Amino acid sequence: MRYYESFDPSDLYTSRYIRSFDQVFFFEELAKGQTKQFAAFGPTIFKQHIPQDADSVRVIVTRKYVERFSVRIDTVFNSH
Amino acid sequence: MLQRYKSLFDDYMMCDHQNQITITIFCKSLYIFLLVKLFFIRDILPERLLNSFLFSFNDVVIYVFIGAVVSVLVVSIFLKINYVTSFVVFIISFSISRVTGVVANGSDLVLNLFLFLSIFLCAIPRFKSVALLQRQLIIKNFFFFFCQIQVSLIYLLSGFDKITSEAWRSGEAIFSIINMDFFFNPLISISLDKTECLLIAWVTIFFELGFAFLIWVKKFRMPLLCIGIVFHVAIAFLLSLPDFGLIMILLYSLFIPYEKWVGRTKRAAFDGN
Repeated sequence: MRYYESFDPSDLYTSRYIRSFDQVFFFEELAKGQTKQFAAFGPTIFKQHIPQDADSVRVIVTRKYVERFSVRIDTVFNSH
Repeated sequence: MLQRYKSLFDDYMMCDHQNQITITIFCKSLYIFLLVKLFFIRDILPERLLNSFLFSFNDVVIYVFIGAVVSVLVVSIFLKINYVTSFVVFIISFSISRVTGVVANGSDLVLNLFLFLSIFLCAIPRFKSVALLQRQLIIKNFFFFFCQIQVSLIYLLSGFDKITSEAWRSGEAIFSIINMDFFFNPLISISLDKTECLLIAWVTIFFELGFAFLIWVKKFRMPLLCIGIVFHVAIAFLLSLPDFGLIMILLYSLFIPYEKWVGRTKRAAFDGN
């Protein structure tokens, strides 16, 4: 986001760098299921709370330490 | 007929000054790209170097190392293209990509590939023996041709990958791209229907597949390069990939006949006098 405000490529590299930490922190910990706060995010909770015919899911993750916080909504392409 | 082609091929391979300006512009533009990239990763690089196993020193050593790397690159830009600086620049680029792997993308792969190939585009220092010099020139001209093939292969494989993907054939890929918030330019709001997504997807596929083959036909070369520049500038602006867009445009210099332009200018100046 900051890159598109300044058009400074160093912001782009910095955001990629920060994102790599986020990805490791979130996805790897999620995959291991070892961290307490992410253990609840296991597949069972998705099965329990999301209807089978749902075409999209909105998940809001609140991090303990917030940096460049923003809310984004993804959409799903309807090919039919 | 075959004899004629063989003769043309031999002439191409043995020619000394063929494509020299193109090679110089191509190699130096890659060095400048690497130097500019170093400038833009200046906030990340010291931290990554400190974390790498090679450097368990202090900040001063890191900044001396970065200073030395920058100096080598600057010197390489001003020196004539030669084996030593080409090899050193490739090692620098490869090492930086390894160290800053988390921020690397396709542009780093392309840069490293062509910096490696550029080692063989040199003809300095020259062999004194005529037989060895001929082999040196053959290698140089062969690798120049090989670099051009590599560019067309990038497009061919990318186009092939897209045409075999259901998401691209249906236009879904375009819809996904414009809805990826962390990827797509938030300053632009585009709403495309299914037909428009389908059209853009197929134009992209046809361009990539067409580029791989038509770039070898002289008549189509310059129009294709112009379309390619627009294509990559659009990608650089719309998606967060300015580095990839720029490196692909730099690769186009392999197809630009600078020698002919320079020759024409010289002839025009001579005729004018």
